[in-house]
Amino acid sequence: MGSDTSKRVAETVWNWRAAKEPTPEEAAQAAVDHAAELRKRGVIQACIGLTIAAAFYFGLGAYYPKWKIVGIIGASIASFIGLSALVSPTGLFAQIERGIFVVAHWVGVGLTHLLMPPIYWFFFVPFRFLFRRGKRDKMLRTFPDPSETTFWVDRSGEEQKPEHYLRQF
Amino acid sequence: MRILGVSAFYHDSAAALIDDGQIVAAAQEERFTRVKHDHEFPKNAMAYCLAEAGIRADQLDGVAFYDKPITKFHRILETYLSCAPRGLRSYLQAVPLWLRQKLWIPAEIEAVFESLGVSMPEKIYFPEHHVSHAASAYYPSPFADAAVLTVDGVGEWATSTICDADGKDLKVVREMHFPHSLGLLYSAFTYFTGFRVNSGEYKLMGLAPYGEPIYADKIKDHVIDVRDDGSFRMNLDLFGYLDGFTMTNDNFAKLFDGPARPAESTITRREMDLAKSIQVVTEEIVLKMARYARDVTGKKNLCMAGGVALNCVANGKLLKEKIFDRLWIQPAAGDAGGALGAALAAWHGAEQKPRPAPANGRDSMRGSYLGPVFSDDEIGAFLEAKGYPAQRFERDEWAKTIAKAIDDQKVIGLCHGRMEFGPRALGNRSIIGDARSPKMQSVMNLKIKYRESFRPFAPSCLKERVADFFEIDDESPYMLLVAPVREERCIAKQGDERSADLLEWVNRPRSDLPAITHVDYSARIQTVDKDVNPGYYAIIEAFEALTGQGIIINTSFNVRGEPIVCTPEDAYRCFMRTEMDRLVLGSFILEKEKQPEWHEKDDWRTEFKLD
Repeated sequence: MGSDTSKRVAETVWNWRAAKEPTPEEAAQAAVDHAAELRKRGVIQACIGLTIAAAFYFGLGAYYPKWKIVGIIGASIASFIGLSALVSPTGLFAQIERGIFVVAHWVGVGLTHLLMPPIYWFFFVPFRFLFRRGKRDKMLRTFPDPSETTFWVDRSGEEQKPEHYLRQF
Repeated sequence: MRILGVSAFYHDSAAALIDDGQIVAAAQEERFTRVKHDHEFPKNAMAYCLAEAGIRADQLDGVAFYDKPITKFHRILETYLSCAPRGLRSYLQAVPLWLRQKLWIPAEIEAVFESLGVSMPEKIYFPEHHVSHAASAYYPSPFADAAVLTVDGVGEWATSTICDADGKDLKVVREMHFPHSLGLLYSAFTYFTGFRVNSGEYKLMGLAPYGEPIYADKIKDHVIDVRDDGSFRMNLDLFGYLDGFTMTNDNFAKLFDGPARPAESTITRREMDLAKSIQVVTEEIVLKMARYARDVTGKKNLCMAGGVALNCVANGKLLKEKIFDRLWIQPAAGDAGGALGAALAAWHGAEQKPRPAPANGRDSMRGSYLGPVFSDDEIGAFLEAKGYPAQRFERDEWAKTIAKAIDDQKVIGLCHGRMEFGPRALGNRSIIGDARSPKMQSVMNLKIKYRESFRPFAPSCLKERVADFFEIDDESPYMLLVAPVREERCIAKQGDERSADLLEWVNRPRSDLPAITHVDYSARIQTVDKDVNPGYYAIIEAFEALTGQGIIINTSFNVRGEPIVCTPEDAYRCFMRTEMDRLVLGSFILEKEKQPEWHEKDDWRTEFKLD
């Protein structure tokens, strides 16, 4: 193997030089960069939140005053997030973000459990009973008749064309 | 034309690259991520394959995925349709994952290419799962034509196939369908005896010689109905994998005298007898399938792949029965090998490119050494930077020094040359030791590998000497065949061994090669060829010159639950964590006594999930 290949492979899968322990200065700089990144993200999130809150307060709230309260709550949350990012990016803001991810995950799980079962109950269950009545069972559950001599499926007559390889089915 | 093969999302994700039908590189994702049986999309393995070939991703002509995702999804929906209203929990877990990720393979591939800053190749191929397996077995084989038998858990619908292969043509002629699967049946017993599915099957195989086949008739009467041609139906009332999260159910437990063994609890006589019984039934089915494959195809050679093809005890029986003139098994017979097969199927099947006649009766797997290698310059720079003392040797001295250390009863970690593709370590990422030592098996199991004491070790021997040690007249380069140790080397059994304590039973010497002789006087053999792996051959040759025995122990370089080491850094870490005595990194040899003290923040034993 050529030395170029060896070097390239090592750089791709074993870049131990880049993985060396950072010096205290490098570690301090990395911490500063990380905090700046979090601040920026927090400010962007706060701006988006404030824009949406303003839309509720001045838009919907102009016609339906009750919606102004949603705008006020939204603005408060957005301001809190923005301030926490500016004041404590790696502490409070990072914890808020982690909390939001956990909540979002469980909301996703909850929605899945809310939306998917009806499909199961209204599609899979009735069709299962229909198929059972029609004695259709793709799983071939019944223990077979002793007179059946083979369970191999014969595919020798099938033409296996090159186009078949380009399909996902 | 360059085609990248990919397998992912089930277990053992991998990537493989071929260039005009020639295999360039192949590796499992787990070796890079250090997560055993990693199922995530293999972006590290893909990046490695491209680096090995020295090309950018936009220089690829096509990507081949190892199965047909829509057909597979159809099978999953049909399964729920046949189980409802049971199976809701499994449906809630599986279907969202399919809708979110597994149905969008082109998008997954595109995302990896985007992360590399290039556009996707125009062609994406989707061979059937078992065609990928069959292609991985036939195209690299040393045969111009062959019958191909693939047996595994399940692909789309197929669980076993028989193919007729000639030249570039590979045609599926018979197949058996889910849920009736020999792979799933074996996995069900793996689960029931307390081992992890898709990981512990080889432990069940290793446990079988301790047992008696007292449940074999029960299995054939109540669990599986086998025909003369090897086809079968399973009694699905006993299994839980259609609608639940367990492989077996209460009916299965009632049939086999109690519930499944909890993981890590004591292994009892029942588990040993169950292991032996399912092994006997599996061998019977594989032999029947092979006979039928010969009848259907009329071929004289057999190629095999699929997870069940890793059952080397069944393979040994198959060889002994001489149903076919010759047998070749893909060393990466599991799903990882599907990546290679998918690329080869795309090249020969979709692109209709001819397959050159195999030369000199050799396969084109290059000993399965298809992974990364690290140069001595790189290793030397690493050792120097880290301050790890090591001595560099020229080849002759290198082999002699290692051989001397083995003779001195040292346990040696070996990390040199290209990493193996597939589940077996074949001498480049291996731990080696003296096969003559009566204590070596328990030392290696308990102090080096930290694994179950009953598990046997495999030998590596010079190809020319295999008949001196074992009753086999064929080579076994990929450690996929089991054969008896020669009778004149064996020591007669001492009393009723079944009444002995398991550890005591294991440690009783059975031959003049006690460390590699299993309780049934068999061994899982690797024959080493000078042309394929000159470095490893030189070590065994030097050991033979020193001791008169051209045979050593070879086990994978890892601890329990850890993927086999890939880089010299992985190897050094494993070396320092265990009680290994020497470490070989390329041309360097490191002695444990001379290394600086090893510190880790956390307990590394919690790093790997036990398999």
